[in-house]
Amino acid sequence: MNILDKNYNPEIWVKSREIPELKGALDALEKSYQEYCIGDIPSPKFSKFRLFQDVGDRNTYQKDFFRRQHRLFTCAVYSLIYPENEKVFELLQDTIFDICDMYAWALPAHMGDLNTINQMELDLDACTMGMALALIKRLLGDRLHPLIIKRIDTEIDRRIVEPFLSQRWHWEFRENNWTTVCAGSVGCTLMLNRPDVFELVKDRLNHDMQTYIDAYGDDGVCTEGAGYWGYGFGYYVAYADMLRSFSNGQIDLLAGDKIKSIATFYQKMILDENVVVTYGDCGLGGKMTKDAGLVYKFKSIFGDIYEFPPKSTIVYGVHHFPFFLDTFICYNESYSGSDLSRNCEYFMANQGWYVKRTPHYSFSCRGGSNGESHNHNDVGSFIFAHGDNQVLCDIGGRPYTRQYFENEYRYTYLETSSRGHNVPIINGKYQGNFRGAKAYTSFENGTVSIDFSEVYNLDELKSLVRHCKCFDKRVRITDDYELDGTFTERLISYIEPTIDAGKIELGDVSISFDTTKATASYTVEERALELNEDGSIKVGSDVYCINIDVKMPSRSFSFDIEVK
Amino acid sequence: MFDKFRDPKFLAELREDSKYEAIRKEYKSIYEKKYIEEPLNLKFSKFRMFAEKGERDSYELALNQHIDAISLNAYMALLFDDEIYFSRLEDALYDVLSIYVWAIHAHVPDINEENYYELDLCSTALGATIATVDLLFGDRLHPQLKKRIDTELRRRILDPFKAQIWHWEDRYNNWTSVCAGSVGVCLMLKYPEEFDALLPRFNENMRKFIAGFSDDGVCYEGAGYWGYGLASFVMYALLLKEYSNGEIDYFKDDKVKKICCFFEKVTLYPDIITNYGDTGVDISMPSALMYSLKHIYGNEVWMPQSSRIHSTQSPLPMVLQFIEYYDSSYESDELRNAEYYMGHAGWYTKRTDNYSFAGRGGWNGDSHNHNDVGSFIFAKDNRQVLIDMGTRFYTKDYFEMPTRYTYLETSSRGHNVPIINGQYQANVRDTRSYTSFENGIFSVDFRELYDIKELKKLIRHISSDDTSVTINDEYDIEGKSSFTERLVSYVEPIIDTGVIEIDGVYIKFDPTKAQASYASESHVYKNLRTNTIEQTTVYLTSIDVKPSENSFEFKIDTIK
Repeated sequence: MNILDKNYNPEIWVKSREIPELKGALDALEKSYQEYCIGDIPSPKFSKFRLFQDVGDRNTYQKDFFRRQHRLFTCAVYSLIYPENEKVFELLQDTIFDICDMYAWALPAHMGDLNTINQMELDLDACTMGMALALIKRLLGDRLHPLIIKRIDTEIDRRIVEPFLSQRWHWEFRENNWTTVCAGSVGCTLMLNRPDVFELVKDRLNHDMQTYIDAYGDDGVCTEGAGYWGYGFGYYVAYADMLRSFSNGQIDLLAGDKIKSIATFYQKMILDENVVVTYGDCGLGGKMTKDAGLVYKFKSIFGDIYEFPPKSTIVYGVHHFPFFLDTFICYNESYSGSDLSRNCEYFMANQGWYVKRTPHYSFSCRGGSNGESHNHNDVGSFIFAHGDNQVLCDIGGRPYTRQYFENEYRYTYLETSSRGHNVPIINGKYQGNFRGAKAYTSFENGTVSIDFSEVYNLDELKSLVRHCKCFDKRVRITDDYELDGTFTERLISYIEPTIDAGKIELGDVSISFDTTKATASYTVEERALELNEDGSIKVGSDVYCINIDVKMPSRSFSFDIEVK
Repeated sequence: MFDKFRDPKFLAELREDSKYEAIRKEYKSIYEKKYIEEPLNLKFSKFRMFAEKGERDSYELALNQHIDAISLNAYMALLFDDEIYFSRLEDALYDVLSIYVWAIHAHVPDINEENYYELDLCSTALGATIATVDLLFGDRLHPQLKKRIDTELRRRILDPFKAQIWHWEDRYNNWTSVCAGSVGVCLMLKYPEEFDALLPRFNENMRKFIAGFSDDGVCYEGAGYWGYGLASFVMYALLLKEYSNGEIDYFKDDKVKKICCFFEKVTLYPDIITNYGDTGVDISMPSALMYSLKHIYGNEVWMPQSSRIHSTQSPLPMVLQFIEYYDSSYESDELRNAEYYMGHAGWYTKRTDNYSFAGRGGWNGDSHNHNDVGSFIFAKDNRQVLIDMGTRFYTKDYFEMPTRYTYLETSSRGHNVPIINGQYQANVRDTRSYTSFENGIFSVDFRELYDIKELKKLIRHISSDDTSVTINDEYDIEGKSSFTERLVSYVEPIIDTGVIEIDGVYIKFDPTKAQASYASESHVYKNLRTNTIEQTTVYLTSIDVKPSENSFEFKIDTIK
């Protein structure tokens, strides 16, 4: 369902006040109002704008930017649901006026050369800003002041339509979330505000969309991680759904097995109620993916194959405007949350990802390569979850800075380097991201085997194969290798380990191995949760890095992860 | 131009030499008062208030906070060697270059249409300021900002100026000099080739500005607008003189000189001026203007106390001119007793040891007009006693008919002129007064200003000695008539037989011929020092003259 659908009913907004199940959404709206809509927002400052280029800091500028953006989203939805509140509507118009004045809608982090004038950069936030304004004009146009409407039209033409028509954009070749978020929101903006232009560029946009789908294997795995799946595929669906209505059903980009496979990706990534697989630059909760709007929309489109997540885990938020609108537009009382199934197992052959949920624990391991979008050096790594927590974990991404995306620094961080993942350290060395290097993964007789020696690119390492086998309350990891040098198993946890006679205790979980073959120890590092302007850690949390040094020579080492 | 300000030697002097200590101190204190790091948001809901409700202050206040940050930080970056001001200057530029429209909302004709290019007083002055920043700091500015300055000056100033003839080019008042002068300065500094091509048009604009004054140099709009309009003219003319290597020199022109010397002629006491029309009571002259004029004309120009150093927020080029021509020896001017009759305009001023007085003829068709022909101001001990209350605070209604003359501030019922047959002066096309000054008597024939058929004659004769002024009104009204003298004051009158005491001044008349009474009303104005809207009581004294009379005389005496 979308606002161009002939069954779309404009009365849903006011009616949603009466729907008990949308109380969470209304509460989120109220909370956002308190958070983003009170008081003045500091006027944009060049000294903040240039920080990214000068020192790599994104947050100082983005804080005010997102406050403006979230204020826009909040006031718009608020005005739809509470049309009698003139104060909020006035603030909405003030915010649109303000946003039309902004030097750029793109983020400095995405603008390349700051020495030139660039008000036309099409990045994620510029494109989605255009779509948000087009949606607002469509939904509230009869109440907006004529000048506000004209300014929206002018700025969409100037900042979205013209730059899109004037060149091919890097994200049209990028095969990741950028492709669909940018092309999808440009496409929706055009369908809503410039249908004449849309007809001219329809094929190009559809081709962009296909580029994104082509990057997936038939297994539907999003290598960027579960968070970016929600973002990227969410915009794919938003575009495709609107296009289906716009073209009176003539163009359907939502049909086919591969789309279905992608659509069910997230449900395969769930480890526990609040725990997902967090490979790559994924936040620990994978929140976006449980966005109510996304969930309702996917359910409305994909029906039975799409498993509705447990209702308690659904997240309401204004951060992604089209999704927040969908919370109301796509809501259907017949959708109900299901209990999480605790007996399932998925092997996703193209990417070599494996996920298993059991009544006692959940487990995931992965092959793949170190050349992915938002890559971490984590081939062969795994996650062991128990009691709604990752116990042996993937700590996910680091707050974004310029350096975080520069080759020189990318793999120096705990979050990205293999030293922060559950993979061996060979001869004191970590994995690299070497061109063409990848893992070979198979799943036979209940055992996942990952041959991943290539990603270390070491002459002294002749072979390295990891076998993971799940039992009732236990997972056994066995590494077979041929190696001239030292071999250390690295395990990552937020829980401080107790090491005692060959047993490593992590709360309810223990790791055991043959003490005659290896000794365990651990160090503490800090994971970044928030950064200072210079990129140093402002707020962090302790991460325990466990080393199991294997006595050499040896050809194989095993350890068991067991729930008490 | 402004080469000095790019010379490290001069900058070092400016920052360290004791000669500039007073300037540094003054500017720093202004900066501390006026610079606002987080200016109020420029909300659409404020922007639309003028068109919809006639309210202009809330948006203007916010707009000025954004704009002022450019000049403030630019001069601080010159006066002090501290990087913070330059960084804040860049922040202010980045902010202001993005503002929807640089004009004040009150000057945007139709807010339903997009309009980023309106050339008004505010947008043009901002253009001149930004061009000056570009000239002074261009080498240090971040390349993006440097390029944006060019883009925005073209888009918002140069292109719109070239695209059409603007209404103010035909206006003969402060708008002409402020807008044309500021655009001219902007182009001289930033786009000299464009300026050269447009010079004839600027010349014509300035010719009209000068033509807007009387041959005696009187600014009909009042002293406040004299300062405002002339400051821009002088800024422009000084730069043009330098730009043309002395070839174009407006200051040699006799009329320009008279205009430049006008202020002393309407000054009653050091802090009290003749504030006819929309002039505030508390006005102060732009220091840039006064120091520039002293620099040009020396002792022929009197420097008012209120302009000693910096008193108003000026566009950056003026600030630089002020610093350039600053000379502490200009600060010792004393106001001398004098008498001026400005025959072309019909204005009269007299300063004595015991009082000062100003009277006027003219007409009711001035820019920023009040219906006040024949009115006067009597001042004593550095304050107005019989007053002109000056302007009301600005709203949309205030500039629109038919509301313009409903206000006490604009109507003749709020001025020191007669009420005839219960009627006030009108604002009728092609009516005027006729003034003369003979044997020390200033006479105003102002019959035409009353739209009353039965009024055949109305002449006011004003004579004076060292301690008093005598007003004699001769009139001829056919049929049943009434004639009331109106006197306006801030101080409550004390009425006795044949004498009214107001604030230590005695108005004496023949009690057998007339009877006095008074009422009070409130006057709403903007306090220019605190920028707040304030209200005060004014007293309207009426002296009703018996119908049998055809003349009436009263004496304003400083002696009991």
